[in-house]
Amino acid sequence: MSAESEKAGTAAKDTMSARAKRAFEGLDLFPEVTVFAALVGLAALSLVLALLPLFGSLSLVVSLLIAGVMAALVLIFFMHMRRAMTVVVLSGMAGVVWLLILFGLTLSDYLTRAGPFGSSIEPPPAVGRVGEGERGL
Amino acid sequence: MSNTPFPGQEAAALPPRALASHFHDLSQQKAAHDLGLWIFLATEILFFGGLFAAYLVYALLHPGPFFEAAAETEIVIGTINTAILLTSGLTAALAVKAAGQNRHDAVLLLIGITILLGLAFLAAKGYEYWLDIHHHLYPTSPDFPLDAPAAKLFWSLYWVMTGLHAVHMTVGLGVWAVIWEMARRRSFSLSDNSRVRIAGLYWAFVDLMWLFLWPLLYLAGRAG
Repeated sequence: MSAESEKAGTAAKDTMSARAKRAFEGLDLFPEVTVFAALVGLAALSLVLALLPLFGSLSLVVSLLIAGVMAALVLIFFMHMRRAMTVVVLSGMAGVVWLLILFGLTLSDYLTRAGPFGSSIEPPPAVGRVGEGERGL
Repeated sequence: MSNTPFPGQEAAALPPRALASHFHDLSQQKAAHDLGLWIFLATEILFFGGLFAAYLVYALLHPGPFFEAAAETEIVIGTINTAILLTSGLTAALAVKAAGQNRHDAVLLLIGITILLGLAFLAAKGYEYWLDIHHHLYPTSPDFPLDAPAAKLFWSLYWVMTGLHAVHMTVGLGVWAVIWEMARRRSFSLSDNSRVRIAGLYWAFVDLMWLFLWPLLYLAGRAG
């Protein structure tokens, strides 16, 4: 209290930390700080799991699942989805729905081409096969 | 005993016209602002989505060389940048909260920290780009170090995805800088006006995109 009852002249010359302390006085830092701690924890988990040879080729899927959880935390707490109106949630989620349509229709092409995965961009036999290095990729 | 006013006492003067004439009340105005920005963010999801779809297709077609190329990115810088962005997401969210409570000093401080963290992100990104160029890791380089053709597909996506994200970061920093200066001049009411909240939404979205870019570009292909 005594720090606050200084004269106005000296208050103007307050140290940065004293000003910062006053600026945050009584500002409730929760749940934001808890959410931040959870995000950092999940990022660390994602990093460790990505470096360890646990999941083989599914490693990236695991990383992306964790990213999905982190994204949900950001959406709900930092982007206020928990208090948002239905129409706002719907318009945001419309972007995700169209994204899934984009992925779905794209894969419905690539996944249904002839031949095993990885060979499906080979040109049809009538055109003739070109060597791997000459494709100009 | 003291000339210093009690906290909040000096901020009594409310800037005029927080409510635009075409809205009934502030809650309707806030709802319209939120809805407008979320519609914009939905288009942004698809803006990045095209690149995510390209990544998905090429990762499925050439998993081997694609993820070998991914292991060449600077994972340390990428991870530090993830931490920087998560922290700036926290300060931005707190700035929005403080604005809702009309806490002028806290808002300035939190937006200031957010801007500094954003600049730190871009500086680290710039250094990373410099390292990448130094290592010839761009698709048109005659000395591109990886043999498989699909490696160039990965590195094309790396540059476009991180570049698009950096452009969004730059826009976000510009928005924060303008709002910081307006808030410093007290030219709008922090709690009645949507500016800080809208900027916070945009910043959180840019944060969100990085949460997916980080595993796709940095964590992929690292295990064994």
